[in-house]
Amino acid sequence: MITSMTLNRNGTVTTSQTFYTVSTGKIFRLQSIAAQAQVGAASDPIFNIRANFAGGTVTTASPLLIPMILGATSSGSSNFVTINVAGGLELPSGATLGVSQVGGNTASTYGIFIIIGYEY
Amino acid sequence: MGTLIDSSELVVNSQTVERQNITIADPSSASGLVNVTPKGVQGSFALTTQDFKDSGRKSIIIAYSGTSGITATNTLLTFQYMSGGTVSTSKTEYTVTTGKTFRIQSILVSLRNSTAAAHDTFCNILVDYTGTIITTSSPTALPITVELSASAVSTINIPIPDGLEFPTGSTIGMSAFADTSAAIVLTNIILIGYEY
Repeated sequence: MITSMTLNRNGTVTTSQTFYTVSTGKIFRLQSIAAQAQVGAASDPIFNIRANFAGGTVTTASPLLIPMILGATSSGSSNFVTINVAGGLELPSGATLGVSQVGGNTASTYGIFIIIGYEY
Repeated sequence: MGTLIDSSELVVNSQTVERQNITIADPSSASGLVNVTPKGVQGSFALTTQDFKDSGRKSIIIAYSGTSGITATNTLLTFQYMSGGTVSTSKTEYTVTTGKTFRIQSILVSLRNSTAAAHDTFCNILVDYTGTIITTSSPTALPITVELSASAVSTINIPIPDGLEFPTGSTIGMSAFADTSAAIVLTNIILIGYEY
């Protein structure tokens, strides 16, 4: 399923976004990602970061940029994954960025998932 | 129009032969201005510059993900890569585009050990600068050994601020194995970078 996100763009917060669109004429530079999930049993919750470079609604079938699998060996917290992208991962003007999630089990809840970047 | 450069005098045999002021302006701008400002002062106009590495760069992500165990035999991993927004089919190697340099910015390795004993795992980033097909015997650019406690998960992120570069035509792959054939799950190896 596609994850609903909160977007903070230059101080303005917008809730319930299923994808983010890079501003016209700008490049989005993704700098860092952090993710963790809470699980009811040993499992592998998955966050899939997806993007359409050509724009358009992000769905679970959109091109997969980063498949993040958060392993957990027992009930409780999954591993805490951070990816620091030195120099930035760039998405072009008009590209759309979203996140879908899968598993790991029925008792899973999704905790932190943060993407930090900027447009220039 | 702002003066950007005030040239030094050209002196020959102690004689000043020429002095010329050089100005730089933006003819497409209504004001045409650029600023020369003292240190610590934010100017209203600036002359933009851009590094070659930031011009026309194409994002590349090479991503292995799995939820089943790796084995005690060193095995080439099958992955997908994203190049400029297009995701490949399953591959065992990525070839750096002709005429480009591939700069890796960040590496992520994540593992899960669901057994009741500690284990060692070995993840290899394989790179052949000559472009030969990647095998488990290819040169190991980065050997990443991860020691896992019993019933533990581990994530390693290696940010590379100035980038790790591979030349045009290089081939890149991954292999992995563990010190046991028990279920050690390599959940992710992700290489993030770009070509320029």
